[in-house]
Amino acid sequence: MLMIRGLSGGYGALPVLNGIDLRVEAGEVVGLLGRNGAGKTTMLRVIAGWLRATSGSITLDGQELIRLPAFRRARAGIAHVPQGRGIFNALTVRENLEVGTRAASLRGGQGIPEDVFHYFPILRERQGQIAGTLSGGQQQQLAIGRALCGRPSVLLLDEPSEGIQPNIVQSIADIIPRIARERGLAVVLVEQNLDLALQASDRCFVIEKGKIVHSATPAELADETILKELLAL
Amino acid sequence: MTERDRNWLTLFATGLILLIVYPFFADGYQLTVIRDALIFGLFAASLDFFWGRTGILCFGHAAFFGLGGYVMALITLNGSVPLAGLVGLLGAIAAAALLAAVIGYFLFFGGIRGSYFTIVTLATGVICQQAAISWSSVTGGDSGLIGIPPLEIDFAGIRIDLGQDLASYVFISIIVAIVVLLLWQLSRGRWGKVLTAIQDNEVRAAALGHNASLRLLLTFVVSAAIAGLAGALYVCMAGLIAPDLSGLLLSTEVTVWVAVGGRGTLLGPVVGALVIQRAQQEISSFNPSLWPLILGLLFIVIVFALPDGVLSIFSRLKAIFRKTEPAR
Repeated sequence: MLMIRGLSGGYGALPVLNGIDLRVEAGEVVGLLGRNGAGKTTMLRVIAGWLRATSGSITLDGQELIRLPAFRRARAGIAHVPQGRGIFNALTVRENLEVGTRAASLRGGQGIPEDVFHYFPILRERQGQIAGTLSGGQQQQLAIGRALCGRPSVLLLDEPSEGIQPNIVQSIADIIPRIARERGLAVVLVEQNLDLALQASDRCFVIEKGKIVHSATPAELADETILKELLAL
Repeated sequence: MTERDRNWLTLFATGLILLIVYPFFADGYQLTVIRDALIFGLFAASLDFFWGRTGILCFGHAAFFGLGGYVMALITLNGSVPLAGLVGLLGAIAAAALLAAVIGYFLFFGGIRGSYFTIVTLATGVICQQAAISWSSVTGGDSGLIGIPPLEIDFAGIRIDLGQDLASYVFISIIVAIVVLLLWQLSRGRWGKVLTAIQDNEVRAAALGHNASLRLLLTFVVSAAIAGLAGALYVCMAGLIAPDLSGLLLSTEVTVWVAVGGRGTLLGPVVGALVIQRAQQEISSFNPSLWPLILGLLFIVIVFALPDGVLSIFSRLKAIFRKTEPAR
């Protein structure tokens, strides 16, 4: 279980988050919605340790992570799939996955988990291909698959639908809740594509000016008037 | 094993055969020329292991070469150290590794990368050369130290006396071959993959649980240790050491050897060192002032025309032939 209390932080002197409280249970998908610049991406980066937190606490199953550098958070079980995916272009698909197994090695995880190929069969087919030559959708699947290689307990997904053809967006929307349930993974999903966010999430939060201002179920947000009011679309 | 690995091994085996055959055609002097060039080849491979795998250029690599040389010289000239040859080699390796560990610790964990790293290492090289000149009571100042005895290792019943041309040629060939093979194993395995990942996107590598700074530091230390070993071997063969062996010019030359030979190939830089030193001797013999000009020009041409080094000519030709082959 991921527990965040009073989290503030951002880019050096420029604070973006102003006291975020969030609790994500194992096996559930939490969607973060909000306008551009609300602090969604920043929040994921602060949780992953990419950006520094100025105050607050981040605990994973009781372990405090706030003082740890990014690589130690990864080893503790936080996996972050950023915008733009961050694939290692010069390595093959398989090598990308192998590099991803480091986070799990201290917790006894060895090698690439078999279910990664089960969720993303394309990765098995393309094992020997240089990752930089994959299509955008395949790269996104590789990025998520690589994150799973660290056998994480938390998965932070930043805009998985960005720049991807619609049929792959649909398959990602199907696979995210499935992975969360089958692996007991706590997923935080930041997504501009509302359909995907509402379809994949169990609960949704609206974030504004670095604060969580509203929580709702996807069913409630499916009502367009409420949605318009919350997101000021 | 990939096609790239097979090509590398073929090239390695070819080089090894040439090294074995050469003594049957060459006289003692020619052997010592190749032997000394091979030591600089080892030095080039040590720089390539770091620069080629991390993409970060160390522009003061001669500092480690020179430090290794001075440590070796001081230990063997002391006269009271038992097993001086062996202790000297180990001391040279340890001293270079230690210097790299100290510099690297502050740079890598301080988040210094790219050209800033290059500039700091350049300054380190200049400082080391100046220290070698100024600390004359220990280093012999400008004129350096002379009379360093040839390597003689007498350990556990094995006696190696490297005063002979052929013996020293064989010894250096074996050391260079073994070290280059080990470095290659390290860089094609998991270690190298992680370094490629860090070079590509360090933040991402860290997000996958890799301690990128530590990994870079260890790679730098290994690279410096081998440069120190090369320096120590060189002074035993040459019999002398001077401040310019830790200086800016040698740092520049080793960079050129690696760039010409092909960064990231390990073998290329060894070949680059051999070929360029040979060319330097030929050209300097009829006009000494011509060499720096040609070296500079060569570097520019390589950077623009063959950024992957001279050895990439083969793969380029292959690609051209494939293109011009009629479609079936």
